[in-house]
Amino acid sequence: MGEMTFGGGGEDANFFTTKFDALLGWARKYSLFQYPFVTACCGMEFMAVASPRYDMARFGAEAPRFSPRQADVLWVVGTVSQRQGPVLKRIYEQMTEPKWVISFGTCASCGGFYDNYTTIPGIDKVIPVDVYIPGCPPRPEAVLDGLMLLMDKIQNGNKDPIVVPPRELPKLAQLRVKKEAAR
Amino acid sequence: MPTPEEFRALLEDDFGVSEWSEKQPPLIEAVDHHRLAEVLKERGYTLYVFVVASHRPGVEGAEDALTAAGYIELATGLRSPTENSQLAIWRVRVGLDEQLATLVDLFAGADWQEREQFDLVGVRFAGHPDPRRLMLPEDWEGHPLRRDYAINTPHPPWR
Ligand code: SF4
Repeated sequence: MGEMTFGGGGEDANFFTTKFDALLGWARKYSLFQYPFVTACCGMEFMAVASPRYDMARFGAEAPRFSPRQADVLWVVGTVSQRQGPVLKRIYEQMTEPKWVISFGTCASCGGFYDNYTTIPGIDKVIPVDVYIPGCPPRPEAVLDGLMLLMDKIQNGNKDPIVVPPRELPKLAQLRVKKEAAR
Repeated sequence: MPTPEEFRALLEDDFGVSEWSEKQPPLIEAVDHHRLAEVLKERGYTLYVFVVASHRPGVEGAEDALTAAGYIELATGLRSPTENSQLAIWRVRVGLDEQLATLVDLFAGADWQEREQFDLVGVRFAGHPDPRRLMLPEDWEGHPLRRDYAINTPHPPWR
């Protein structure tokens, strides 16, 4: 909580000042209750992230709620078909404010390679999305990056959608950067 | 369990089929579809395994009316759980506007499988207890696995 200012006055000062929004954001971002809407293969990777090895509990996001009414974050994990669209929308509407949506994997973000009649090309056609995590499926590290980006967004009150960037550039792009640096 | 000879006799005498092979299962008349299933069930084929349909578009200038107008070919498979788990497969052809008798009254497992074939290929099963779509939204128009279904057909509101 970068916006905390200690009251001053030496060692006896046991108070600090902050803005109410910042305090609220700080409280919210460390107690994310999640609702996993798991429909396809990405679910396996989601389980890996939730397991002790990657340990989402470090971020206060370990408690899944299997009722959308008790959740803050909706994880849409996997392919969403046309028939599931209304279901997804209804679940989103059942969540109480404030709520956030993480689109997990390429399928949820843009339909992935399912360029056909039955898949919705991205859940943002149905509900607003806060964080997109690309990958088929995304690595757990990318998911943790996404979770941290969401926490930043919650802290800052930022409403813009955001895409998790790759941790390192792809090989070809690395070469290009090197070339340009040498020039 | 009937012997292969008995089967041959059954198909030839009762259903008028003379030719089949492993790659081309017997093709019977659509009106006999339900009767054949019934006969097979009596003889131990009590497990409904699959029904798959494929659309054959019309061929211009073809001699017989069904080929000219286009039809749907279905293959149905029954298994005998007791005798070596043998599989019986047969084919039928139905015109695009015709109906085929449902097998749900004989095999409860046919219910969703027939709904799936109706949903995707558009086979109409006469007497089906619950003839709704299975996989696509209920207000969907058309049957996407028909050959004349354009791949880029728009599907509002999401696609
Ligand atoms: S993005 Fe890949 S892994 Fe994830 S649901 Fe789609 S196909 Fe499966």
